[in-house]
Order: sequence, then structure tokens, then C-alpha cells
Amino acid sequence: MADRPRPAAQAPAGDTDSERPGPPPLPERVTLPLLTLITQQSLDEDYRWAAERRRAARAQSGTDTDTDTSASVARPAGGRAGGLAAAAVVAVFGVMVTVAFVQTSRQEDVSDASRTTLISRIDGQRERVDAVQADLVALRTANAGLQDQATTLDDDEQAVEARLRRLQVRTGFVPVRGEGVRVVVEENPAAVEPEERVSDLDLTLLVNALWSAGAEAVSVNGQRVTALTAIRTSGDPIKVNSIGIAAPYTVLAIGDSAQLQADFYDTGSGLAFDGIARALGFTYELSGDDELSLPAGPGRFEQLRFARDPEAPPIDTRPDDQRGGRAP
Amino acid sequence: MIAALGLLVGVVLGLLLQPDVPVGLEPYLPIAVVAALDAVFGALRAYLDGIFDDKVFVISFVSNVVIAAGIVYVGDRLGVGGQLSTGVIVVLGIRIFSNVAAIRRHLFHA
Repeated sequence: MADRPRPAAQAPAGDTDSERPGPPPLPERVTLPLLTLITQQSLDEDYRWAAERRRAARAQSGTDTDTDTSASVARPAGGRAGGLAAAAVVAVFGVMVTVAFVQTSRQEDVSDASRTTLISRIDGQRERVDAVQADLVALRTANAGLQDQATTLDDDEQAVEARLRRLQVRTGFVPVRGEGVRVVVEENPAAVEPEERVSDLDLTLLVNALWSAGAEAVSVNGQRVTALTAIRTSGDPIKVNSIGIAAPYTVLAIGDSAQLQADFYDTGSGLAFDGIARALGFTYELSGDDELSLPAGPGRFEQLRFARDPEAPPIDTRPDDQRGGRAP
Repeated sequence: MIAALGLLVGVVLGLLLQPDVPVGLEPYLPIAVVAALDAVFGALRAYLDGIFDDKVFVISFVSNVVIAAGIVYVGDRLGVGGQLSTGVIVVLGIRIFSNVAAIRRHLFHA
């Protein structure tokens, strides 16, 4: 539309009007570009029209009175009343401007206050976020430290568990299997007196000899010899782990079977046992075995009644245990 | 002269009374003021051109204010109030600028 300005008087060659023959010239407001129109008609045309009308009227009356001057054109037709009306309108304009100004500045206070509140709230929240982020960093660092600790503790735990396993094997609290030697002790058939029979001390000597020769686990007639096992006589039968056993006595020891058999007689206990056997006339036989299977010691031995780890928290000791705790 | 007095009286009246604009009309007051500003500058230019007319001024003032506020009101009803008031402000702003340019030519002969 703005690309094809043309004088309004010229017959338009517009798209829609080209077919109609001899169209009337379009008014300026249709043909002019919008911005140009606005700029050109910024002064209300009514003023011009009113002035023209007035001039025409004056020209008409001027032929009669001949008093018209160019200055009188500016004089409003309404005279004093018209001037008052214009003044009233201007006063209304003044009131409007003032009210709008007052209103805007009043609202400015309100929006300023709310903006200040918002800004202070934002600042507060930002400080909170900063604090929380600092906390986060601190917690992350602490977390990393704790994770390191956890890893260390895990390693420690594994080491301790391995050690516990070894100790349990050593002290007789887990079942074990492996190669070793089997010692079968037969009573002297001719023995009559109790002193001539195999005693608890003799079996203790035998077990000690096997320990000394390098045994890792020992059992007597199916009773595992643990760190707390006692071999003793109370009355007639020999008791191991408080369970009575009878001849023939089968002592199993896990270890290097060849070395156990060889070292057995190098130990003082072995030699003493051998001497007693010869003196009392009972027989014993050492033989290697590829696959021995030893049970665990009694579970009650694992419960500590009085002994305490000085570094561990106190164990819950019930009064029942203390009352019955006299028995070994 | 009498118009300047009227302006002074109006400003003083507005400052003294500080009438509360009804909430419903509040959004249309600024656009009405801009329209009135356009009418006033148009009248000033017409006065300097020597073709001022009271009746034309009163009518153009009232119609400017009513039409500007009305356009924005209709736009508000249609949901395009913001855009329409922008359009009105642009048109009135251009008119005010060119009128002021004409007034400047009259006053400073430049």
C-alpha cells in the first residue's frame, strides 16, 4: 500500500477498481499510507473547515460591512462564551492530568513498597540458599570422609574376619577337614589295676605331643580339643569337653601327616607318652590319613561369662548365668 | 490567556480535591489524558495557525477522550487491551509530535 503513492486526483488503477469504468477518485484517507496520513492530518481538519466556513461567511458579510481583517479570522465565532467553554475544557484537562499524576505517584509508592519487600525477601532467600549450599558442601566433604572411613572399616573387618576364622580353626570352634594323622590307643588287655589303665594325663600328653609336632586341630573320640577343653577323670571314665569317652581312644590331628609322624617323637611330650605306653603295656598306633574331618567344639565354650574385652562395651550378663556360672 | 487560567484552575482543583477515580475507570485515565493532550496541542497549533475554533476544540477534546478510552475498553473486553492501547498511544504520539513541530515552527520560526 505504501509502495504506490499517487495523487488523489488521478484515476486510481487499484486492483479492485480497475475493472469498473470511470470510478470516482478515491479520497486521500484511502490512498495515503497510514503513517503519512497520521502525520499530515495531525491537525484536526475540522479547524480548517471551520475557518473556511467562517471565511466564507465573512466574505459574504464583508461585502456588506467591509470590516473584515485577517486577524479577525482567528477570533472564535462563539465570542466570549466560546472562550469560556474552551477554558472549561482546558480546566478539565488540567484536572485529568493532575489526577492521573497523583494516582500514578500514589500507586508508585505501593508498588515501590511491594518491590522493596520482594527484594528483601529475595535477598533473604538468597542468603538461605548460600547457607544451605555451604551446608551441602560441608556435608559432602563429611560424607566423603565417612566413606573413606567406611572403606577402611570394611578392609579392617575383612582382615578381622579372616583372623577370626584362623583363630576359630586354631581354638576349635569351626569344623575342619584335611590331611593329618590318626592315633589309636588300645588298653592293655592284661591291665587290672586302675593305675595300669590309660589315664587322662596320658591322653593329655598325647594331645600336647601332637600340638607340639605342629597339629592345627585335634579331636579325641569325636570331641574337638578347643582352647578351653579339659581332659580329666572324674571317677571311672575319662571326660573330654565334659563328655565321657571309653577305650579305644582315637585321636585325630590335622596337619602335615608326614611331619606330624616324624616330629611326634622329637617332642618331650611324645617321648614321655611313648615311655608310659611301654611301661604300662598299652599300645598305640600312628597312621597318616588323607582326609580327616573334625567337628566344631561345643558352642557353650564360646560364651564368655566373666572375661571381658576392656575395649568392648559391657556384655549383658544375666543373673541366671552368674548363679549357674560356677560350673566350668 | 483565559485558557492558561483555566489550566491553572484545573491543576489547582485537582491538587486540592484529589478525587478518587472509580476503580473501573482507572485503566482508561492515562490513555484519556494522552488523547486530551493531543487535542490540546492540536488546539494550540490551530491557535497559532490562526484558525482556532472553540466549538471544534471542545468537540475534538471530548471525542478524543471518549474514543481513546472506548477503544481501550473494547480491547480489554476482547482481550487485546494492552496491544490496542499501544496502538492508540503510537498514533496519538505521532500526532502530538507533528503538532509540536508545527508549534515550534510558529514560535521560533525555525
